[in-house]
Amino acid sequence: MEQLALYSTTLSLGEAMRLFRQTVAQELLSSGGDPDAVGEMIVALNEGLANVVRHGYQQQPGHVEVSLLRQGHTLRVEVCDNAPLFDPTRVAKPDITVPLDLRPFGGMGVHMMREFLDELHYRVTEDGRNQLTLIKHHTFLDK
Amino acid sequence: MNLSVEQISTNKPVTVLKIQGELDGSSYQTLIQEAQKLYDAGTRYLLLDLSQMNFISSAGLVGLHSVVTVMRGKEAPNMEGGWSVIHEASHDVSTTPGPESACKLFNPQPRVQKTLSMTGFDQLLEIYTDWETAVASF
Repeated sequence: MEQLALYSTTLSLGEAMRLFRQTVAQELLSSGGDPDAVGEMIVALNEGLANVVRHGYQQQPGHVEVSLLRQGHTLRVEVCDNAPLFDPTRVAKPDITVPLDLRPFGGMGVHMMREFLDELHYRVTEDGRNQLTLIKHHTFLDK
Repeated sequence: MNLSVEQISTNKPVTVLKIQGELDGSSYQTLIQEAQKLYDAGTRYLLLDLSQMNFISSAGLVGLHSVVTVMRGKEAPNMEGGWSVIHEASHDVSTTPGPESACKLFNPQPRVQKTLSMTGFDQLLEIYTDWETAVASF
């Protein structure tokens, strides 16, 4: 597995998140990622990071490590954070047939991650941190 | 994100709100505020032009949901209460759309369309890809 980039940064909601998203997208595209696949990974990653800051860090700036990894055609993104332990893969799937009048605002982030990714995994690292792994196959088409 | 407003007078006075760029956690509140301003100024037929909106996040979906709510004469969720309040907020059945207001979508880009589909928004909002049909639909 080849590591394309490793970011260790303090993220907050809003403009910082937008700029980080652009940095990651640029790196993946310059590494030969398919634009459509990269675009979908960026949507999913944005949701993962937003959840960490919004819920894990209670909307305060917080530290995250994001590792971009390539294995053949597959893109693997690992996100580690120091927020309280939480497994987003256990979040129930929303009922998308509920009319807008009756559904709560929000609650679609994890659902969007599942839909845009091929695999989504969670584990607690040896040093007790959250690690979320986002996997998208067929991202790199030249190998 | 940039917003621009255009008034079109056909069968009904339609307001076009064009969203350019990224609708995300840094911009969705601006969209809600603009929709509220338009509603307060008398807009009842709103067409959201998504043709140049290249990104939408789940926060952006909250923005769209809130615009629909505003156009139905209801209050958007109070952002000062934090995200948990937004999650808990929901409408009562009295927010069923009235005949004298409407919010429709025009021409979302493919990834935005995919997002609208996977979250069910495409079944709950009218989406048009032809401009004349969209404007005439009100």
